[in-house]
Amino acid sequence: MYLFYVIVGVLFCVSYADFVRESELDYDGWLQLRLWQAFNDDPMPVFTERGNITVSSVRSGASVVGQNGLLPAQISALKNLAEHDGKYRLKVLARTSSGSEITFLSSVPACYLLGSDLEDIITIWLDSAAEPIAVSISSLGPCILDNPFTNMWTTNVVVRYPDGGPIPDTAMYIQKLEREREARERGETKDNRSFLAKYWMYIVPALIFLLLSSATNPEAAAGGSAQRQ
Amino acid sequence: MKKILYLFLIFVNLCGQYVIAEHEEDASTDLYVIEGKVFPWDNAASSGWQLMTHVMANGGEHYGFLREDGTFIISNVPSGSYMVEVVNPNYVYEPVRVEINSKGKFRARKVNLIQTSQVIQVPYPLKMRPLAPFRYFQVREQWRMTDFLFNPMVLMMVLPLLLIMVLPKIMNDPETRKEMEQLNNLTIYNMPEMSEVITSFLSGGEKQKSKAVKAAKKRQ
Amino acid sequence: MAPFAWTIRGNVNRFFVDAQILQYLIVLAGLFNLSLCLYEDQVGKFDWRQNYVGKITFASFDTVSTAKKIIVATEENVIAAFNLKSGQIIWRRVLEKGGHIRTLGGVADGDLISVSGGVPAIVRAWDLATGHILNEWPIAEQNTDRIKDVKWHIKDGTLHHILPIYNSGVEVTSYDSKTGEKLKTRRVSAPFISQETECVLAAPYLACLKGDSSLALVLLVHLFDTNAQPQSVTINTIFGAGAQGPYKLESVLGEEPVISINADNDQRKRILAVIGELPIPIQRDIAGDATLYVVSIDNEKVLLETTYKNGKIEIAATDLSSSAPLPDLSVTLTHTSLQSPTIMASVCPRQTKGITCRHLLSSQDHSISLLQHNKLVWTREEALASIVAVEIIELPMSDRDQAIETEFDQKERDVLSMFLRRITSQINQAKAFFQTILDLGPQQSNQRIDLVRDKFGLHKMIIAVTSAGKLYGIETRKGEIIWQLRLPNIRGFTKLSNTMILYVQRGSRHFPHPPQCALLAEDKETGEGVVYTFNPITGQPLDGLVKLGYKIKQSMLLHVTTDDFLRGILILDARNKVHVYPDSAIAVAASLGKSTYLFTADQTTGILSGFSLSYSTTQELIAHKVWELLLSPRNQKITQVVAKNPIERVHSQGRVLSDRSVLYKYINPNLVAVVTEGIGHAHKNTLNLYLLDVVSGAMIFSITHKRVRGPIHIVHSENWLVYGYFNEKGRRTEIATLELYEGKIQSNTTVFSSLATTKLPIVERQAFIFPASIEYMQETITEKGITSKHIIVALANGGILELPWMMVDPRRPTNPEMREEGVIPYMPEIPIHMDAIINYNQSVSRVMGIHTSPSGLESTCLVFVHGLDLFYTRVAPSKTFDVLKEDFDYYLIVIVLAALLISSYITKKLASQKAQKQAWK
Repeated sequence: MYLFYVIVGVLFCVSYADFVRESELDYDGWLQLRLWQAFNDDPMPVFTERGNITVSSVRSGASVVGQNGLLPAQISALKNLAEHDGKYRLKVLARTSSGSEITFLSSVPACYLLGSDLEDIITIWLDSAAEPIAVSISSLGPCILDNPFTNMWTTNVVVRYPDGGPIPDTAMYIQKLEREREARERGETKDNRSFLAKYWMYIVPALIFLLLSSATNPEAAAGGSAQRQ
Repeated sequence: MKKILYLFLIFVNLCGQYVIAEHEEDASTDLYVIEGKVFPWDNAASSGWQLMTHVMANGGEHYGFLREDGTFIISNVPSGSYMVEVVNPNYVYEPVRVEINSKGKFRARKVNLIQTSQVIQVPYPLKMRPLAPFRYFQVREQWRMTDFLFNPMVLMMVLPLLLIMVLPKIMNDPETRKEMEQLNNLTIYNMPEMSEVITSFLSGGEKQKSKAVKAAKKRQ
Repeated sequence: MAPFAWTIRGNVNRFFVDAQILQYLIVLAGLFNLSLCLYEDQVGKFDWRQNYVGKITFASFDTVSTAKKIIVATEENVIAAFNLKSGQIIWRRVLEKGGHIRTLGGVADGDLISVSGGVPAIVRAWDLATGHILNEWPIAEQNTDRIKDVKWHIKDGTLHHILPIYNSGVEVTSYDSKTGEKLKTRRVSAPFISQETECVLAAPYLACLKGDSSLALVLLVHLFDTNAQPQSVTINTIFGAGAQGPYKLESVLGEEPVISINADNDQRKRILAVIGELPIPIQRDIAGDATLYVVSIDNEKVLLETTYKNGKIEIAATDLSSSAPLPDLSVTLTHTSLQSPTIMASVCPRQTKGITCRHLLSSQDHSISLLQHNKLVWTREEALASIVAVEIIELPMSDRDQAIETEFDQKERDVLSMFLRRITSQINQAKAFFQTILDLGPQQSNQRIDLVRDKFGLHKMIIAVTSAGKLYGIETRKGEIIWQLRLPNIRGFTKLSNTMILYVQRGSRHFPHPPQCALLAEDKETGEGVVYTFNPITGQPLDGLVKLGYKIKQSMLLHVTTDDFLRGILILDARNKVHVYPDSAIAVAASLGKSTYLFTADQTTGILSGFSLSYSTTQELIAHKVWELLLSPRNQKITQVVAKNPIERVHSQGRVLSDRSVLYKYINPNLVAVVTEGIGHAHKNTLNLYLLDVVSGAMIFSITHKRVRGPIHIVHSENWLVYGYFNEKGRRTEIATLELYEGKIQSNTTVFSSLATTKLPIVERQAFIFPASIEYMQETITEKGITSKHIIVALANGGILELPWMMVDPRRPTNPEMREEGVIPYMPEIPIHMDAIINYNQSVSRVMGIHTSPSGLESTCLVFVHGLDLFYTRVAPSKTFDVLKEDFDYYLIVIVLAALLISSYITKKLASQKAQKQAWK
């Protein structure tokens, strides 16, 4: 008997889970990224291996980064690049769980990497089918030209996916209309106040005026009549 | 045994939800015709209103044109839901939603975009009557004498002016003075009542206002 | 009475306990400012509309009804009737968008039958005089893939559906043209018909060309006579010996069964006429590029050959059977505006004076003219029904004003010379003034007197580029066409849905340099890019058509000018090399290289790439790729990439909230919105929107809508986006808005840098229901951006709505507790107010684009709507706050002032008299 209810409950949950998942990804998968970097100050980049990133589940965003540190020659190339306002280029080859291999290219001004001591953020953007559409590198650091304190990379990997689109909020509006309709039917409108309550703002000034005029006039009349008397 | 049967039924129902959803996309290939009649506005008898008016389904997917008596047909319409509107530059017509199900049954109802499942049926074949003429223009504000006179600034200026000028003249006139005295008798009759009312009210209430009452009493 | 009550309430608000009512009132008062309407007496003062029909495919003269007119059917799926004498449209019926009129006929019998649509086609019978529809019926089509081969013939109230069946014969199905009743089906045997035979209809025969070499045969099948056998004529009989293929068969327009065969690579052609049931080849060579028409005059068949060479149109009339020339019917005309005209319809009635022939000519640049006796009676510029690019340009100042301006352009700046120049120019002005008053002296000015800039900058010139390769200059006051330019052999960019790109390289503010516009298009044959520069005010070409020799992938206008105020155009070609036009701008381009970025989006591969020009030198411009991303074409297809208007300015940096703190806007000038639609079974009916910074390649935001259908119309401006789509689930059109904010702290108060910012903005979003179908959306724009933005929406019912942005503000609160200023409470439906429709009852059908332009006034924006019709007007989103209103009562003020003066004078006098009297007492 117990089992029966459990199974029914599970089946119902499974059917309703569809509605819950509207704003999240419908699919899950893993990603393997291989990174290459280019330090040269030429239009054609010369890529060298940097490392790799494995994202085990795109929905949770958990990732493992494996990369080497920078050699002194590479650091001096980076500094050279920064002096000429050049960009540090990153090429990423992504392999997805559905078997596709995609190449992405991204760049960040070299002086930012120097300023943040080789700390960068790699953002992986997915589309609604959990396929990667963009991999971009960015760095927070200020733009300075000094040597970095370390030669090891500090990489944060962020996985982002599209939000669900907004829907016009008709439910609340319908509720409001119904509430107003019920209120009108129950006669709770403000128009049933007494005549006095509705027009008191016109009556009160008139009364005050009358009061004041009779206060002055009786004085004058009383004064006048007092005089005559 | 019964339990297994129940479980099976529930499972099939739930699976059925998905199955039906898939089949929504197989539209039938039958084509239907939407018919109706458009009524002109009152004084439009022979001004070529049929030329200026046409009927649009789903925002221009299908068009219907008017015959001389105002009837129209929209042909080659597959089954589905259509919003049929009459387009005329001078008059507003209310749109109608026509639904044709895959068996060819027509249902026409009023359009409610907020509560899409509300059904207020409308006769089919359609009869579209004009709701109101389009009012595209705003009436220019006319300058009227009343605007000038009823301006509160003007009232506050003019009324006291009149009172100040008129009252001394009234005072100097003997006949009106008699009338005023009579009026004053009436008001004097009223006055103590008012002050009594106020004192009785205020003595029951706050004591701060007693000062003002004392001042009024002193003036008397 | 109402204003009186309002002020009483305002004065006694201290007695109010319920402050919410006051807030309601403030909001209500604010709402009244939203009523943006026209007054009835403003109709037609600053707006105009022009109706067009498009390029003609079928035409015929209506000689049967009482009012003589011309009936045409066009490529734009429009059926119209023109007045014979003036060319104005008598009536016009616009059929479905994207449809095709397959045939139009029956005019000679007094009916008008049209067959339009795809599968199945709809046959409509129209009333010739009034344009009403008489009846409509669908034709069922058996073989849906052979729709292109179906031929139609309408005669005597019967519609014949003719379909050649391969290897068997021709199937002729006849229907009653008005009721749709199927009369009979017949099959005429013609076993030679195969996929390679080319067949044309020359009613009542079907002529097919079989074979290619000199053994080619022309076979004629009589479609309505069951007993007749197919007749054949060899090519040698027609051409004699020595003719070479490939041969092309064409049916000659007109009422008679005549076909023409092209030979020798279209160098010459000959005619085969069927006279009295026998095919008779006419042994006369006709020029290969001549167009033919057969007209019958008094039961004589006359062949009209139209040739066009160097602006000269020659129509030679010959008798069909005897080839005798008829010189009194032949016409020679020199006219610059027609190009390669074809006679679409012709009628030659015999009148008392003789035969007057009227020919309806349709030229290659879509214009329609009526030719009568060597004279063009009227011309219609129908190319304006398919405008692909628009710019609105300021007019130059009058010559006098320009002469004053030159003193500021002089290099030497010493006071004395400037003073002398000012004195001399003013003496010249005074002299000219006296001359015009006394009417002496020559009026020399090489421009129209009224084509100068007016005080408020409201009189401008619209440059319209049409898909036929014709450019027009239209002035905005009355919509008059000032100049026309024709560019042969160009077409729009096929990858950009056939649009061309128009840039304004130099405006009209830099006298003595002429204003310059550049048009980028593709060559019709090679597909390589071409640049055409011209003066937009006079319509004269400047450098003419320059063939670039490479395919254009992306182009950009530089924002820095060269020494003579010309902005160069950077062009990225298909091999990722950068060029600049004109070449003299290369130095400027190289100096900007470090901060210039280009981006490309490829619809077929889904790759978006960004390029930087930082390695450019003055010798060579080099673009190197700095970012690349992929929107996989397996899941989605890029439909639109929308950037902001480059001349837009944002005036306020943030919004003031109800607690007096500032919410700063995220204004990124390098932000681009990429709209993709899902493809494939799993992602059908999905809309994805990505916001991309195209300098750094970073994606800022992405959003997905499920179960929605296009077409998507999107407006991207300032820090917000508004887009409209059709919601399949609710079966209604919805509008969604996104607004981007940085937050309570501003990241950089001076300059925005895409490379420096890493913080993602906060995105406010909301969706609304829109009760009409949207055809196009565009936002208003003003010079300084102070005026509020309104969105001009073109609706499917022909109206154009001015929707205030306040109505689609995503921060509209659902539960109105604290009200902010300028924010109205949320309602799920956006109401369409009748008085917000700016084109009152001048409906504009099939809007393809709306172009907005700032004017000289900050409050006014100029709106130009184009599609099948053209409409132009002015809108003032925040009402005209910088000019006095039109009905400003000057008279009232003058009268009141005069009255007050007089009364104060009189009162002074009276008071002094009274004081005198008092003193005497």
